[in-house]
Amino acid sequence: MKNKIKIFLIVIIYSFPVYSDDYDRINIKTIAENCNGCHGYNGDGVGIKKSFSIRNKNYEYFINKMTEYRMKKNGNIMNRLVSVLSEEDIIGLANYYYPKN
Amino acid sequence: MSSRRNFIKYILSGIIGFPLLKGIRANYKPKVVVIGGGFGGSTVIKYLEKYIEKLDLILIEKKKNFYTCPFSNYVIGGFRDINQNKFSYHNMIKRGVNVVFDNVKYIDSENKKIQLNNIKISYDWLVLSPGIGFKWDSIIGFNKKDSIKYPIAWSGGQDSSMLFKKINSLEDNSKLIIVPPDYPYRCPPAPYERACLIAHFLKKKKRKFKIIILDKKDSFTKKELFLSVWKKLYPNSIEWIPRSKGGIVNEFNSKENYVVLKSGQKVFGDFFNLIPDQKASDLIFSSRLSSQEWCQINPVTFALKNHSNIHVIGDSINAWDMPKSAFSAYSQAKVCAENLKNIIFENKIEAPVFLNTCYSLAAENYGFSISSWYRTNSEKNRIVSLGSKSSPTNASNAERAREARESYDWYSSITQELYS
Repeated sequence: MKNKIKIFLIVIIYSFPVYSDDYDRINIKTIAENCNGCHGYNGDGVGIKKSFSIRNKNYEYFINKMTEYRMKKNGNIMNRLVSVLSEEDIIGLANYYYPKN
Repeated sequence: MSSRRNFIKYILSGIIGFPLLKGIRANYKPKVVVIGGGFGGSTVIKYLEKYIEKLDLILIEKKKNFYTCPFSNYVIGGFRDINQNKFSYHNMIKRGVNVVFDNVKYIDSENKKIQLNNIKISYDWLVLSPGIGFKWDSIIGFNKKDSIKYPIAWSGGQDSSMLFKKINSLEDNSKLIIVPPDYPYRCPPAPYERACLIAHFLKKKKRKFKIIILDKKDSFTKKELFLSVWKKLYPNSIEWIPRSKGGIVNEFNSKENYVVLKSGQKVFGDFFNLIPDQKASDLIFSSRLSSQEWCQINPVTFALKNHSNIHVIGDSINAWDMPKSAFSAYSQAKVCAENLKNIIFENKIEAPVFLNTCYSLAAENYGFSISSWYRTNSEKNRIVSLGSKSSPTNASNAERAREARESYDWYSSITQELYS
């Protein structure tokens, strides 16, 4: 687990923060609501595949999984979508979906 | 007399208008009317429903049932029943939304009124998500009447079933001509996906056939993916003739079954799927809301240029880098709903971010996708892509099957979110 967090930290150092530039800050909720298209309203996973639910995971799993998606080039749709997000976005999204952490 | 009348009018408008702008007038709920219950309009409703105690929310929709455009090519490919693409507004009504089933004749933007078949409805804020209109003069000899015999199948619904029936009745060794529209148009990969799925169906029926795509364009979305898939799954069965190789179709002769290319050459076929060029919905023009082919909007609020209190989303707008798709409309609708709510209640306007993901199937279990995030440029006057990314061209069959399954998951999720 520590290794995964290390990898995550390396990734964020070299990341290009698309959404955290200076001309206008994006509300994390605005990013998250775009995820609902596949992951259901509020990320609850209302589709046929319950594993699509983001809410039924946890903070650590989310950060690790998103980091994994970011590292793999030219993979599945999640790799392609997450590669654009910055480290701030991923942490912001984790805080949004799992507010108690 | 006139000045006194004006004075009274001014005082009254102050009494009525001021608290409305502040959103605090006792017992008054600002009236938000949404026209069009497709992906865009239904999403606006869904995301404004949270404020239903403070807003008078009305959806005006022509049809009792909504047939989705996404997955309509699967009906044409013969592996999906049209009723699987059908959704009702029943649950929306149960959730407390006032749904009016009627035809909108025009919008009187000056007086903030909507003329339906028999009644008028007023609004404080209006959101339009009316879809597309066709430029019927884009192919000489092909008009609305011809589209009964040669269904365009570009709006979901029974049209797709009709096109499937026509494909199913084709004899062996048939030649099918597909003419995609010029940019911009609804669902950019759809004509090419359609070619694949018709080929898939005819191949399954063990019929010999040839599909010729006569294109006004030299490129199209996911081009490399489609070209490689045609070669792999349907070798020598699908031929794409781009603009630079003479693919522009000028004319259609329905009596003698041929199209005329720009060069004057006649191309004969056994069946034709002609998709006219497109523009904003006819409602936009009958209401004099735009002098251009597509609505010009503010990309942060989706407010229509030169018309206060009207917002437009989805296929009818010029969304710059964003394609016209269900997912785009859905993504734009959320930003529109959020910032419309912020305008009404005088909250901070949020900076937008958009997403579009578009799946295409080349066979029943063979899918790929393209997706991109979008945001506004630094001047906040256009929507820009942060870079489109597609599935790899060398993916395995297992990966293609997984993407096909993902497309079903996406469809299930988005439709359940909006219509359950």
